[in-house]
Amino acid sequence: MNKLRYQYSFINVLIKELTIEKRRKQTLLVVAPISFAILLIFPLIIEGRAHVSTEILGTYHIVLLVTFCLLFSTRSPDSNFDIKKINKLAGVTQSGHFLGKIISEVTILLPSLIFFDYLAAALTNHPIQTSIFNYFIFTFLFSTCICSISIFVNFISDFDTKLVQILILVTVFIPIGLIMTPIWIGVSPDLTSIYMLMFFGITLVLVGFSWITNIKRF
Amino acid sequence: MQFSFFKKKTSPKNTLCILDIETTGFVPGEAEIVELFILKVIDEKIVDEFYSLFKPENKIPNADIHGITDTKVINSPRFKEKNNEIFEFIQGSILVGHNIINFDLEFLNHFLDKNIENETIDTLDLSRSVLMDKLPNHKLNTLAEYFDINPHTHSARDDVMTTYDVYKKLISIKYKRVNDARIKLSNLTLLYGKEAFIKDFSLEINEPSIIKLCGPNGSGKTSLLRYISGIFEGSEKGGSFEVVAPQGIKLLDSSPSLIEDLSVEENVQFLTGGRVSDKKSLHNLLLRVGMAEFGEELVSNLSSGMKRKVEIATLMEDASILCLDEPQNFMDEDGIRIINFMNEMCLSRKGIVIYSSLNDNDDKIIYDLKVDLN
Repeated sequence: MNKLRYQYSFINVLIKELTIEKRRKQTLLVVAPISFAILLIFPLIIEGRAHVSTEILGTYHIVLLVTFCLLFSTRSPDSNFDIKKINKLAGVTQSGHFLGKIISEVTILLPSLIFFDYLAAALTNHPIQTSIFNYFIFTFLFSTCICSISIFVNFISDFDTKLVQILILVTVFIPIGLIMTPIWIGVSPDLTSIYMLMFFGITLVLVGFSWITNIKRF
Repeated sequence: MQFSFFKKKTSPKNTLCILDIETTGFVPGEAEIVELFILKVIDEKIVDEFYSLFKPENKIPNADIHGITDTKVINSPRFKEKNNEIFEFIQGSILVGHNIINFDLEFLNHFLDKNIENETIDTLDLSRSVLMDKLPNHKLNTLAEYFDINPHTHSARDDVMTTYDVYKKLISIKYKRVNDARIKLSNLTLLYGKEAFIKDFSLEINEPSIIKLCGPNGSGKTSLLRYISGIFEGSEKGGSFEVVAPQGIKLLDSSPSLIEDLSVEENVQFLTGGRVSDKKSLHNLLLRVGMAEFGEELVSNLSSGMKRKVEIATLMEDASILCLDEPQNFMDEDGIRIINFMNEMCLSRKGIVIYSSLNDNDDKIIYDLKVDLN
């Protein structure tokens, strides 16, 4: 592992990011409990009971996803100058930084999202209406999109103007949530394939765009 | 931009003490030292040596290995009698040995009145980092065979000579990639917005040297160092910048570049790019800056001076060009000594050190040239 860490700088970044997350426990102790509280409160406010009717299930899921992802994306502010300085000292390349960062973010977000989704399904008596295979593929693509956007917004706004960042992130997360939500509610198998292809394309574009921005920025 | 160059001081000499011991076993306390040889080398010239046989408390059970029998040491002194002499001999030098940290120093620290606190270079670690898996193992004999030098014989004197030859070979391999570091800045103007704070600045360094950048607040010291390091956030106008740094440029910034949520060891692992990863190497590196006992400590719990020492530890091994932004800040006398040692290491691999200082007359850090940014 040490040899790999030396040869590929993204592994060095990956280990660093996962260690920080393990130490801070932000996703586990801050993001998940707050999202969980919203999950419980939302149906009570809307319908006055712990049950979400089918008509608003889509909206409900989008709100939950956006809230969860927003909390996740803004959990640890990074200063671009500090990143640049530390990476220079550690000999981490631009691509190494991006790859390490996105892999670590997806590694943290994906299991949290799966846990969160299943919690929501259990509490709202609306099971996820797709096969496990499709669900995992979609959740992985969704996590990758969210992390790419999060890294990109971090580059352009330096995470020191929270309100602006939240506005940008919400604006982008809602359409991504709109693509993800039908998988939750359930669409026909033919449409699922089209959705998956479309989602895959969007993910590639977002990752590519974020990667290029990262290289230009650092 | 007015600036001045003048030669200030020459660097102190590099003193190495290569040592080896022969013992009656492997565990300090159960076994004793029966032979010690130390070779003193200054600037690659052998200048002195210390040699003694010692009479152990118990009988020598392994004479067949090193050839030292009870009759041979019957008139020799006890190890304790030579305590002061040994300390005087090695004072201020860097200790070199093969497996010195896990064996020789363990024994010496056990039998000496106080612990040895000299800098150490273990050729075993050096070999592991330089040759990696090119050899089946990194024993002294294997290395001697690899470099085609006299193999060791389990006599302290011969082993020291072999270790010294191996050390020279390893160092030459380690640093042959790092040579001819050069910097050339011509008529450079640096700006933040429309305001230029460095105008038509020129600087050319073609040989290993330590440069001191002097000037008051706002004279552009930090920006110049950041520009050379490649992390300058402002803009440049005109001029040219050429740099040759085969092993890269590293910056010790005025604000810490450490990750607060990671421990000291985790930070060193990350900042050295994984080159220093195993416990022993980490310990050795941190020992050099007096931070070995804080390896597990979170960086957020450290003082500013301690953070600076950890950063310095990560700059020790590599980099052809070191840019140090006011390195003396937060540092005590010991810290200044560590900075001077780091600078010496950089020079020894033909690198260049540029450091900034507010104080024109602060000469605690040894330098060759001064550039006045007034």
